[in-house]
Amino acid sequence: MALTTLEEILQPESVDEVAELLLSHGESAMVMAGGTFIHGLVARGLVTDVTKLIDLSGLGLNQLQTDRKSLRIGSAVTFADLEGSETIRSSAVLAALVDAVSYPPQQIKNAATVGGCVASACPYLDLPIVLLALEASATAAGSTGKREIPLDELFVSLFQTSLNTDEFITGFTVPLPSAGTASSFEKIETTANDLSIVSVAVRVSTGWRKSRNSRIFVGGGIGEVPFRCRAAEVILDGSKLEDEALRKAAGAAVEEIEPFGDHRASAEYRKAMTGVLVERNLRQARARIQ
Amino acid sequence: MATISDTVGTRVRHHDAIDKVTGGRGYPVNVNLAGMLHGRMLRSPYAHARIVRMDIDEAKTLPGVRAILTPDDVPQVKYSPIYFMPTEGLACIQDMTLMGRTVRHVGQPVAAVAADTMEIAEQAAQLIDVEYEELPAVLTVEDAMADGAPAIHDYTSGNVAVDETFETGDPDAGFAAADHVFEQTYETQRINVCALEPHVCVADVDAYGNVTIHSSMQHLFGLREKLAFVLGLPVSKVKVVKPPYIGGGFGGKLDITPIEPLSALLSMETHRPVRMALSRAEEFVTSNKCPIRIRLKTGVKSDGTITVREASSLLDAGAYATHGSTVIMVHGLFGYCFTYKCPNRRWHGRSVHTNNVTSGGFRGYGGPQASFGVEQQIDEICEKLELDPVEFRIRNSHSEGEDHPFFDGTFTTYRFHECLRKGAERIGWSDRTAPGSDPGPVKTGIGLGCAVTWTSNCTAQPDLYEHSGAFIKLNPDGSADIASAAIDIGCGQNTIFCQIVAAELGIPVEMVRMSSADTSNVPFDAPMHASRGTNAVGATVKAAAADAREQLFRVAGTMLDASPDDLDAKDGRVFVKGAEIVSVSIAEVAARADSPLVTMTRQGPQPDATPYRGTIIGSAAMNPAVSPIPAGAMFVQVAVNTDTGEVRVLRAVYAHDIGRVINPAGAEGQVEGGLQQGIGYTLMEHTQFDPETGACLSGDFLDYKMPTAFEMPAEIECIFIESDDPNGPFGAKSLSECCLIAPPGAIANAIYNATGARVRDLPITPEKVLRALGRL
Repeated sequence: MALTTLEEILQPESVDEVAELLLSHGESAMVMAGGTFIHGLVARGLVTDVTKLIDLSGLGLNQLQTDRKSLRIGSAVTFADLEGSETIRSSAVLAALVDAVSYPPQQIKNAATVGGCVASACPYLDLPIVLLALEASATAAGSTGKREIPLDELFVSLFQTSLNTDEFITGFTVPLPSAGTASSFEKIETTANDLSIVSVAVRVSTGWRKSRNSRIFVGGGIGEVPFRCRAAEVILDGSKLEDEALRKAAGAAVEEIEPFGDHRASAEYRKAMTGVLVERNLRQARARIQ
Repeated sequence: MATISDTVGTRVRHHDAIDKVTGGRGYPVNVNLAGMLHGRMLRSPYAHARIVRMDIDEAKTLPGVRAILTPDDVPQVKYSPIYFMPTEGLACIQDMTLMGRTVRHVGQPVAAVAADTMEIAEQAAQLIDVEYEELPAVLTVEDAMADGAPAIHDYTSGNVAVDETFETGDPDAGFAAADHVFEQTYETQRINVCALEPHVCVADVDAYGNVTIHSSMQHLFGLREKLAFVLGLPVSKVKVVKPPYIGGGFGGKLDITPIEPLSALLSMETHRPVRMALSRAEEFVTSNKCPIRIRLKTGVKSDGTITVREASSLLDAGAYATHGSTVIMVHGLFGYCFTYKCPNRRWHGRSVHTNNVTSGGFRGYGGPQASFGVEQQIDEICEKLELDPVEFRIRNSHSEGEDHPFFDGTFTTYRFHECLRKGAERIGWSDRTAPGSDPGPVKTGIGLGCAVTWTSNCTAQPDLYEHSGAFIKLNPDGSADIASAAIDIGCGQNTIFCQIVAAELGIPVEMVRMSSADTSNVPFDAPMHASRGTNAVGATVKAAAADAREQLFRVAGTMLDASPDDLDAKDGRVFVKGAEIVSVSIAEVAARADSPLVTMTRQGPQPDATPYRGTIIGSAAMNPAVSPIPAGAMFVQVAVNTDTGEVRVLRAVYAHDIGRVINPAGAEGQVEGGLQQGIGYTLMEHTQFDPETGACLSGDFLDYKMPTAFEMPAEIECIFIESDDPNGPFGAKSLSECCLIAPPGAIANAIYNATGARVRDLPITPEKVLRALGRL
């Protein structure tokens, strides 16, 4: 079925214009970036009352910028843009971004955007947990101006963010810690067109001989929003990232998550795979530390 | 084998290739008639219920709604929807009704609406208020067969639709003679055909009540017969238009669905053409491959001689008997009994009704379900007895020239042993290591699975009609048109028929076309199913071309002043054998026959010397004499991650004996497509239903997983061990179903060889692999 209620696709040329449109149309308007997620929602009959799509492609939000302290990712940057960025590819800190966007087929890479992927608030998607592990924040623009939302405050529940009705995401800021930090992402899926059964993103840092500020996030069939494995992080922080610590952290992650079982995988399998993926990712990230 | 006149045996690009990849207008899904309405159905949310009351008042008032049908408005005749069995056929179980008042599975249609747009029709369908009386439902074969289980139909006992046995020799003596007896159960799941073009039709009823219908289906005449039967019309009132091609059949379009009769009835009601198309979600509740559980008990001597083969198969037919009642027989006889040699055989098969979605036809028709068990059990036997699985299969399979275990006649051509040896050599079988040998968590392994003695064109038996008819017409430019009811369902049949006709007439393949047709202007042809296109239809178009050729030579003889017996044709010219310089172009001969040419002389126009006038037309209508036996052996290499259970197929070698290969490029495409289907069947595909309610859980391609290009191995090697079968056109047998029969066993055996994990139920998900390894 097509989106039968659709009357118009609006093509604003400025951020303020988008905010105005959102304010005036309310719930009947939906922001569209690459459209890949909306397509899936429509196909499953999950979009019913939307009459207007607001196309973000004319706002120039497809820029990647770095300074010494951070990476700015425009919300309309595509997966292919991320994958093709030499800055990101050569960074151990940002490696998990490249890991995540390497999975989908090229057609998805060309269309899907970072902003759309995050704003979908779907726990099965990959980039949200990577950006969470990288301690990124989202820049939201609305009728009253802009604000920064730490990513761990963005996801409220399934398909639900903390954005106000008149707000949308214009981009992300990813802090770039000094040397000694690296990230990794890996997931289990059935085919290249699949949503993850379980996905894991980690970031580790070696401080003065000791690990600190670790981040471990799990996505997939583990709940309505990404899960942060705090008990596992505590085990890593202060360790030397030795094999034993990684194993223990993985074990702790398995203990603290409460995945569900469905027709795609049992809870037991998801739990076991979380342990495998946490340990694998930690090893990978550790190996990437320069 | 040598090519013939650059036609047969040559890699010919499919004639419709460009058309198809650009979304060709020939697909039935693209049929668009002036004034066409769109139909949608309302479906039952219950697995088993009786309709108490229906209220269509609100739906009727929706602007744009043109007609609504409820069970009260449609014929309540019982029928079997299978195309390849005549309605009155003996083996047909007539248990289906077009929108009856009892629903037997979730998703069974209960009302239909025609409206100006599909969206309005859908909206109106949802406005229909239905009151149901829920009945107890049974969703497993065990529950259906249990004492006191609710009866789904009144014609069965214990919900068993078919209960058949087959026995040869003395099985008990076979067990007594065995040194070892192996007994295991293997289970296959319900999967969907997933043809990219859904079931779709456009019906147009004229002022005289004549029904013209376009549909994406595999059998022109089957649809005509079934539609006429359901509507209570003589077949002469129904005209089925042949699609130039369809977007995939795979056995899923071998039966009439509710959309054809419903759209015809809606068209009668509205006097407008009505189109109905299934959504992807509807496809999943319409027809799926039959799930079968097979228990195998095999007696073997220590030297590897099989002394007895015994099996019992249980098939979940779902709500209606249809294909389940024939799949169980093909599965038992062709998939199981006639594969490996053994004098003592016993098989017991049952097809059982449940309140699940109706089981249907699917490439291999019960063969893959059997081979998944048989091919694995052989490897299990070989491991225990320390025998080589290749040698064991050679020792226990038929050889060329032997009598067929079922048909009258022999294995006229049968190069199965060569397939095994050549395939083993190419995959590196002798370097195979013991399970779990690879260091590290990712372990590789090699496995073998076979399509041992499959059959071209079904069985050529009376009740399973397999006959064909064709016309060949020669045009004044030297080209030829084929008219046939045989439908190209995606295997490249049209191209193969053109190649055969071109070779027979001695013209370039580009000069032959498949023309349009409908049931009123071409002879009967059996469905495009059962691996029959190349062999059965191919033989018929060849015979029709030979008939045209005879007439061509008769006319050419008058032009070359030679006896037709002394003529031959090639490269578009007819020539005198032994004196090729004496020749005339086929175009000139055809033009001479076709046109009222006269020769101008001083005395005025004079008739020319050719006494034979009229277009050169060849025809044939015939039954295949026998069903030749194709065979294949598939070897795969897999990598299994023993931490996660994930399986990747790294490499595949498939060796086939399909007689002469008419179009090698097309044949390779069949093998590769079959492998992709096989990987899906073995590792991921599964139409899943809620065990409590019977509702479909995998209604789209996000939840129903098919392999993508990413999951295909980088290396696929197709080997054709050619033979020249005397019963096939230019020696050709057939291929299609073999391609899906071998992969499940091969992949399962490779997983075992890699890891030591034996998984006996499909699909072999990562989770099952881990459990088999004792790691979950």
